[in-house]
Amino acid sequence: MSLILDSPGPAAASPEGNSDVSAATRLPGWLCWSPATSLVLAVVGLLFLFLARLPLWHSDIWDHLNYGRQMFQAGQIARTEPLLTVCEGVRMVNLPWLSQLALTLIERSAGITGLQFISALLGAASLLVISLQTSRVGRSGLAGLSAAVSFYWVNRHELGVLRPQLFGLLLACVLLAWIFSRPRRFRAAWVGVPLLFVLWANLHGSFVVGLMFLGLAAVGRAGDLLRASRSLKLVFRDPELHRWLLLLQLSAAAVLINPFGLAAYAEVFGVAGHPNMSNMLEWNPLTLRLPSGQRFAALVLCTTLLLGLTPRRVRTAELLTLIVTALLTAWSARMLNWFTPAAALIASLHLAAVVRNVLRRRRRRVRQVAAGVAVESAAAVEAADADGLMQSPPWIWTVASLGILWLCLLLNPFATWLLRGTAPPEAQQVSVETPVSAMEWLNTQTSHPRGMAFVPAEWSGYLMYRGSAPLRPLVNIHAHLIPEEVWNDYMRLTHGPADWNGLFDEYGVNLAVVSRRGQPALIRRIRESEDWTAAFEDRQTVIFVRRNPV
Amino acid sequence: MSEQHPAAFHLSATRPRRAVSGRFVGVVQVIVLGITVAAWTLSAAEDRTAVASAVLRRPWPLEKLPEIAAPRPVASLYDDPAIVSDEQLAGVLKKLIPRFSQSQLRPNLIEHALRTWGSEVRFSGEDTISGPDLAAFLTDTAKHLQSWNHRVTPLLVDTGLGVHVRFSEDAAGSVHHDHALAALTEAGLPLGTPVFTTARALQLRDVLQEALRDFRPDERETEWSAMAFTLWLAEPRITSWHNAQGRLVTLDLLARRLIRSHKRGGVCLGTHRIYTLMLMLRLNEEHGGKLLEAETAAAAEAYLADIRDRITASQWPDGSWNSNWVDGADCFRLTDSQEKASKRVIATGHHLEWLALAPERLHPPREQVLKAASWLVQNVSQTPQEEIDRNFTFYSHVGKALALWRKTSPAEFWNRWTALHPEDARLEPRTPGKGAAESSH
Repeated sequence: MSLILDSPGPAAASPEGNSDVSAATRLPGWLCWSPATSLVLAVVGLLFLFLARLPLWHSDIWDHLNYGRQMFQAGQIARTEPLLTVCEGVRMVNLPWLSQLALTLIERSAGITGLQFISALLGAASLLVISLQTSRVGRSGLAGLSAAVSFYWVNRHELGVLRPQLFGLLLACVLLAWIFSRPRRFRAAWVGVPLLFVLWANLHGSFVVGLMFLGLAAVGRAGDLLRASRSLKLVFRDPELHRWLLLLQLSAAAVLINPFGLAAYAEVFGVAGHPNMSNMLEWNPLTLRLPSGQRFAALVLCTTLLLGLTPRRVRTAELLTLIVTALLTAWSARMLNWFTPAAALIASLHLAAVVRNVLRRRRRRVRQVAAGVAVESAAAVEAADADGLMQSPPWIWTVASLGILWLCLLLNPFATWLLRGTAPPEAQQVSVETPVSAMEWLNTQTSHPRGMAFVPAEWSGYLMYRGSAPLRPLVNIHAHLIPEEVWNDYMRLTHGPADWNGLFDEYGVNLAVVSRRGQPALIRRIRESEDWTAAFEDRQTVIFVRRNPV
Repeated sequence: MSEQHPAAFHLSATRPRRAVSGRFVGVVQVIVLGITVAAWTLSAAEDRTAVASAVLRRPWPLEKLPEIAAPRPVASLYDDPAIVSDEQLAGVLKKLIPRFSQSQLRPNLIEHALRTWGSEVRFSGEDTISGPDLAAFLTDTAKHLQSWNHRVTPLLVDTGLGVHVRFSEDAAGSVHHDHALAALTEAGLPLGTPVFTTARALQLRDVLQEALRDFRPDERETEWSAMAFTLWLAEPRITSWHNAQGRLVTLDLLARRLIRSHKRGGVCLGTHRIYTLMLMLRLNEEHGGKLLEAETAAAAEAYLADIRDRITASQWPDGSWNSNWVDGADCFRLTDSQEKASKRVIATGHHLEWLALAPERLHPPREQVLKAASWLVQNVSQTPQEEIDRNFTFYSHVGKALALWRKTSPAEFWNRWTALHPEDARLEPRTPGKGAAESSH
């Protein structure tokens, strides 16, 4: 395989896939890594180092840590929401229980640095799986590079937010890589894919996306056959289609191996249709007004263009996967997370085919013009360069790749923490939206006023987890668990309605942690009241305390 | 199945695939079925219910209610003629006999009259409404529609699963959620009482079941729901159930829900919450503390003790409390001089009502109770009948409260009193057009 493009043909897809021992190096084939692997590793490694330094996103993770901590304390998975007063008795099907436990363990043993590391590791692994597989199937480093870059560029926000969904993303990438692999080995998949789904169903509710990918692959296979044969009889007799359907069946059943059994399915669809989710930006339709919407549109356009230009056969499964995930993304911005890896993989495969086609034509033209004369065209130079790279001993790329991996592991903050035992101050490790100063002030108080506290939903988790005294926030970011009336009241409160005081009375709120950026109207309202006093203020937060607690 | 597929070579970049054997398909089906059956049988009952509800698109099923006798009323702890004498009580009750215009009769009035007088009392006056008619108005759609000339939506709605009582929609509906149920419950009607919707005959049981199902703990007003549920569920010791959303509702949750808000909030100046909490505590005590967790009961007791301290500090020299009772000693400074006089009737009447159920440790000093009762008796005697009729809902609590302090009910006392004083049973017809009460809560 060349660094950029390998010549098309029936050759083995990559040296990694070849089990023969290289005659030149006496290395096993799987250890003879290609230049493309080194290139992809270098790019993904840089992204990993970048992701490992990203401050921890302030919202979701802390809620999950709270649930994880609660599980450790209780020694069991809560069946009703255990943290919020207003959710007493509300049923909770806590599908991501396993990721919550894992994240809590990591936080307990390695602190925020550990969380940053696992976040970067999951994100980079997702990128790596997609880009390596693209490079392998497309026999092109360029394809792998393109997959990594486009995947990261469009989905960079989601890749930087640590939450159970990131586990799901990695598993989705593994599944996609297998679905679009060549050759596709079913023998291992009979065990591997169902196991992946068992893991997935216990890590995050996005396992349904995986089932959708499998289903689309099956339908795609049927579509390909139908296009080629025009015979339904042949479609129904196709062994591969049978395999896809059986695998889908097994995977759908494997999902049931979770603490909630069949209720896992009911929960996933219940959450997506919950009325409170309409207030969550990421569950709303993706629009072009959002930067992520613009990037999504750009990827859709590029993919469409490439599918029009590609000499490579466009499989029905590819088309279906792109169309369905794109439509879902238009429906709900959160689906971008599942569209991007699929689109990056498929588009990059076709990009490699388009570029290969263009270069082949150019070479042919150059040869025709030169008519046998040894004229070195640019393409020829490139080809020679590539040949030169190919002529390097195979172990060079293995060593280079391992070196890159070693550097990545060595240069990230987690390694520094491991080696020196030091970590940056917390304020540098968490996003600027995290109310660190407010938390520090709250921790100077021996106790909080009794009753509930008004806290922005995205801050509740952090203040609960890092606070030294128990805090009872009205809501957290798990909107689907919160009774609709309470969530509506909370949403109204964030806009500072005239009856804010009545609502605070209703919920017995004696402490209000208010965001200057998010709730300026509420701050103005509370300041006008004689019943409340501002106990703490900084650039981000105002903390009000009721003079005579409820 | 071993036949090679012709398109396999064309479409697959890999070697042609062997057909899947029938045995393999069978094994997969057995595995899938095994996992599904195991997942179903090993799941918690609640998970199975959740799946069934989601698949069938039905609300969460309500637990089956046992046969429950009519709930016993929570009796007063006192018979204190010093608080109110027989003559005073008779004078008060006489002014509270329900004599409403039969046209466009609002359920709220009937509910208050019913909870005060019960469903068995008989009045002799032509324009009076006796107990059975009060109950029938709330349980028979025909009666309700007749009063409203068939121009309104029926009060009772058959949901298919139970009977929902319309509230907060229009004047022909009930004002508060489960207020009608609470009134029927306090009146002592059994669960088998027929309830007629426009479609079919059901029972009071169906009203209770629907109320249990559609109850949401975060509604603004939970006072009457909590009271009715506790009264019905105390005897069979049912302390929890699932509402239509599958949320586990417990009596503890109801009590905590009543406690959590600011004391100035709630209907009737926050006093209904207090009454319901007091009632819950009493029922808990009567049932050996099996209804509430000790922690909840202690919190409720502390809450009521705080109320006691506030009303002790906020009573006006004339014996009344007003809407600022919650401010304790600051009440006098914060009171709005333009406040309606009826607010004092509300506050004083309602406070005296729950105090009649409360143990002495939760009372303000006795002289304050005496003063409050005296103020109420005086207020009723001095207030013109038209004014009382306009504010019947507020005054009805006065009658009930004073009767409770004599360890009786208005109906029981009135029957006894009129047997001894038949002249009081004869009521003069009222001036037409002056009947219908205007205010409500």
